[in-house]
Amino acid sequence: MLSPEATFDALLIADSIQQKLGDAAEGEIHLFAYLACLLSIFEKWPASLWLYTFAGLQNGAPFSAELHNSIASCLNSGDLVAVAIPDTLRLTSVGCEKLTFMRGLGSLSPRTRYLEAACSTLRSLPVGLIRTAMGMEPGLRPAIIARSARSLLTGAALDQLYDHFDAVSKTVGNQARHLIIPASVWLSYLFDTARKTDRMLSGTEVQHG
Amino acid sequence: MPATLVEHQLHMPRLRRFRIDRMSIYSKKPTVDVSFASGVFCLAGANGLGKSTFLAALNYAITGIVPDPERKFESVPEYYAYSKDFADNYFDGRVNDADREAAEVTVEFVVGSKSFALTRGIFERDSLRSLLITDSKSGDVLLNGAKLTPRHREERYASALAREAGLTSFDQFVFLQHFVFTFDERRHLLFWDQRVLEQVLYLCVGINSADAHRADTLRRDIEKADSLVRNYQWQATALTDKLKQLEEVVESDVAADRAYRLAVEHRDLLRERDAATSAVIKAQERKQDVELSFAQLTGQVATLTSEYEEAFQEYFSARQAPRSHPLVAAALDKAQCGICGAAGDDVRSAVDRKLQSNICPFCQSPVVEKAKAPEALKKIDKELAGAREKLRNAGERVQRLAAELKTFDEMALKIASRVDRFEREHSSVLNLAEVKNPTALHRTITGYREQIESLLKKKETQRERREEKKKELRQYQKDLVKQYADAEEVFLPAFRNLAQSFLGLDLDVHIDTKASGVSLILTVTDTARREQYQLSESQRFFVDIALRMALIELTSREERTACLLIDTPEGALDIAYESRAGEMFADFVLHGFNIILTANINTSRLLLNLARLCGNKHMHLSRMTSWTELSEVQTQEEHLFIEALSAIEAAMNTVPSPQKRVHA
Repeated sequence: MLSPEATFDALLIADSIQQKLGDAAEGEIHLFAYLACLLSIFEKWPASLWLYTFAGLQNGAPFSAELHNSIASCLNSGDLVAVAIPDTLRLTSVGCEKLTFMRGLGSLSPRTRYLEAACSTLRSLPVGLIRTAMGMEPGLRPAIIARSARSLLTGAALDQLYDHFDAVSKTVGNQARHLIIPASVWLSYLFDTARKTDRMLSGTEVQHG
Repeated sequence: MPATLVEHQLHMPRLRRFRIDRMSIYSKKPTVDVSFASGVFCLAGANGLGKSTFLAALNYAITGIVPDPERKFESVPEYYAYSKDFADNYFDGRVNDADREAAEVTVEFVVGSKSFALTRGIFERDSLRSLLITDSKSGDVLLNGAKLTPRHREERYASALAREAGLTSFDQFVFLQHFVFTFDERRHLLFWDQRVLEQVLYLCVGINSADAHRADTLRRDIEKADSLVRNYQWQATALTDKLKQLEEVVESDVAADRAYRLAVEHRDLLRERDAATSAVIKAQERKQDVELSFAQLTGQVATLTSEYEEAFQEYFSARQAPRSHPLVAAALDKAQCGICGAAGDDVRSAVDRKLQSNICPFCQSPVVEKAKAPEALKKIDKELAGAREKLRNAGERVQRLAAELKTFDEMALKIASRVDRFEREHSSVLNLAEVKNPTALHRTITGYREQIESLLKKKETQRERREEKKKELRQYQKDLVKQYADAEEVFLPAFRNLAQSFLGLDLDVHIDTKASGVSLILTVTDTARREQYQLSESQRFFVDIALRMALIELTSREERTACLLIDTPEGALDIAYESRAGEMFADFVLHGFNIILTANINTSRLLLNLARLCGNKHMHLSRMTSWTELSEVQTQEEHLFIEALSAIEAAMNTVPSPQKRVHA
């Protein structure tokens, strides 16, 4: 069964990335959907309220089977088209029309805030930096270190994430209500950690862009 | 009454054949069937192949138990009774569920003048699947258990075996088989367990087995009486303290005032406790109500979500044709025909025109728009959004009420604990405050005095009983020491020679009687080594094996056919001691006794020397590597096993040079 939430997220993120970067890669849709989910947790949503799950792949990229199915379904129904190889996607006019309709649905609209905040980080941070930073996220980091897939938003990693978010909340204070601010502060912190870790391990600088 | 000194000989099993069916860990060998000739039977296997399991299964077949390494030895009957259940745990991971029914062990052995053949289900306590007892010389059938019930077969087997072994009970046989005639993975050491060693001495060295049983019972009775003495004394002391408090209260007006104040304080505390308990109950009720509502809302959201997903799916599929078709969408977006490849705005407008006219751009058929799904979807969406919001609120309420309940619980626990502490500290005074009646109070005091007197009497009775039993036991101990003095002529040289052939040091053993019982003291080159740490762990293993060998020689010196089971003994010996250990084992075997040995396949000097000294005539090597799947590492390095086994077999095939026999 098609997940309405994953379908909505896929179309909204594809639209948003399209406006900021041009066409969107499928991996970027998964990345920003996961970031949006984390931002909902930042605002005290239980992780289960996101209504679909993520896994961390061994390269540190987040992946959701529901999102993948939704993207495949959107490609099939013409809401998205593949415009380049490999997997660069573009929202069609039909997809746009559906997205507009779905934005008006009350059961999906609470997600919009998090999805848009996640995509808005692209205004201030390069996508490569965001990808590198997310690799240091407490759930994804172990997948990279162990070089094996992990379920995300479970156990100790979730506890660690709450610790991060407590610290970010204290840092940004009242500005936390503009989600883009805590999101950017947190990603910058993660990127900084990635750079230090990389320097410590290999003496080389982390590249982004 | 005290022991009759007898010439004491035991008849322990001379194993002939052992068969294991459906032990799942032997995945490549559903039936393991081995025969035991005289001498050494060495089962050589790699790590994790089930060598220890083989010996445990063999002993299980004979005794019906697998020893629990965690169980402390208290007495022979208790050890047997309490060890019966452990076999299930032991074999549970070694036999697959599908094989539980079929899994069984069959063993054939000779004890005294009788041959026993029996089969046991792996998971069947106190019962035998088959039993046949025959005369070992004539072959005449003495007992065919075919018509008996499984439990009856076990009973008949146990009594016949105990009788034939020269013991009073089957549990004595089981005890000896597990503690003397087996050195298994538990690595239980006789020299350093006085409790077990004393019982071993009673059975092997000393008196007749009935008296050994009596000594064992006495030891246990003494402990029980001792425990009761301590228990009665403790109760009497506790009551005396209470009595003292009461007497103080009675004798003092000040204390009476204090009692009143305490009673008031107690009443207030109880009220506080009741209030806290009531708050907890109310909070529980509130939480239960909200949880019920939460459950209802969860169900509602689940139903609506399902309807919503269906409507969503319908909405998507309704909009799929024809404008949503990828080819049409591509034509509209990219202005390119996905069928013929034509490109340009003409393509886009031609396709768009057809669609506007509700005509399929491909086959020109009229297109009938499906029912508008969005309205239905919007309706369900509105309900779902509302229900989800309610569910979220209910979830938050549940959490808040759970936190509230926790706080009330903690408060109630604190006050309950205060009440408890208060009542404990002032129990006698509170009783007084409640009684408020001098006559009743005096009755309580009298009652306490009577109880104390009764407890002290009971304590005295138990103390006397303990002393009587100690006296009786001392007589058995004396007899044991006397009997040891006779046995020493055989036992000591045997032990010294065996142990010296291993350690290369002068060893001595003498019997020692202390309040705690009789034990053997080992001295090495005149230094008393009563503590374990003075010998290395591996040295201790072999000294203990030497002790068992000497005991076996002592108890079976007429028959000389008994069998010692040894599980992977090599441990961490250096090459010199390995070689000596091999000599020690060979010496035992060349004196007519038997060893069933499991060993890791390696080129240890123990195996090589044992093989060289025993030769083909007295040693049989059985390879275990084909019984189950080897690990990846073992498979990769299998040539090493082949080389090691070949070296052992080559050593068996060399004609032994005239060897200096260590064992006189």
